[in-house]
Amino acid sequence: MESELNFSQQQRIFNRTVARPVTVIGAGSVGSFVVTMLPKMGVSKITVYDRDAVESHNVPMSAYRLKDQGRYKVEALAEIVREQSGLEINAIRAMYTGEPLRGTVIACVDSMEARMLIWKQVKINLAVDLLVDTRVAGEFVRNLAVNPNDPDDVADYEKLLYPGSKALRPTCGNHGIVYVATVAAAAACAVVAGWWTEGAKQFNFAYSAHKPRVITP
Amino acid sequence: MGAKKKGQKKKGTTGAKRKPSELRLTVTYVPTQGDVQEKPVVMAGAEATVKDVLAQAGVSSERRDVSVNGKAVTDLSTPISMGARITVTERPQGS
Repeated sequence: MESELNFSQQQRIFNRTVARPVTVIGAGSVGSFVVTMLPKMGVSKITVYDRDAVESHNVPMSAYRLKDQGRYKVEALAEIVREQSGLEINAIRAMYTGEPLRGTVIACVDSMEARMLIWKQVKINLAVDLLVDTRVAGEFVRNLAVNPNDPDDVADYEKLLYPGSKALRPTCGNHGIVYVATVAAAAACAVVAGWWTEGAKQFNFAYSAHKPRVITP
Repeated sequence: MGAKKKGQKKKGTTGAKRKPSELRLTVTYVPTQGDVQEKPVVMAGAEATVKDVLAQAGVSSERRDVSVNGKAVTDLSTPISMGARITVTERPQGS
């Protein structure tokens, strides 16, 4: 189904004809915003995986509405996208368990183990042009944009894949906040647009929302 | 003797460069919450490793990513050079 949106005000910024199919894995705070932003850029082929339902604490930091509480996230998202953009997405109500991937992949998962599972599928996979790994905690965003067929990117990314026990586990009350999740989602969408348009991207994007600043790694 | 003529080389400045007697660097610590901290570090001597610099700066690398001039480093015994930028970032895994 084609988008019903009028893109005339952004067509010189992003030419939507270069868009590729996108798979978003995880529909939490960042993933929900990514999935609602992509159709507004003109991306028409979107698949999203998530098995969870919307809980009350999800609503303030995500794209979900009060009325979505208790519904499966992907079903609520499909409805939000349909209402906002007139587009049908491929909503898969299941956890990602290593299914084949193609096109552009945006990982919006909440564990390093899930990232490793995704990496197994995308590493040296010519059907995947770009992996964007979004990582968020508290007031901090780190997105990694990886060409899984570029040996330098592969080596750099694998230095940043470690067991969850070696990363921070957010404690109750500092998982995130809407202005952090939206920055992560917007940066992920922007890097994808740049990649499709120019074939170029920055590997690492880091941002602190505390006295807001982009961090030079 | 007298005033130096234009184009005349100053004595003692040719040949191999002298090794600096100290290393000056900046360590940036990026927490997931709160202020980003920038710590100038001066190391005595001409050589040091990433681990030495972090110890001098009082910044732990546990559960954190370390990068030098934008490149992730996992081996902290990597030697560091004058003016290098070391960034230590807490590791988020949410999304």
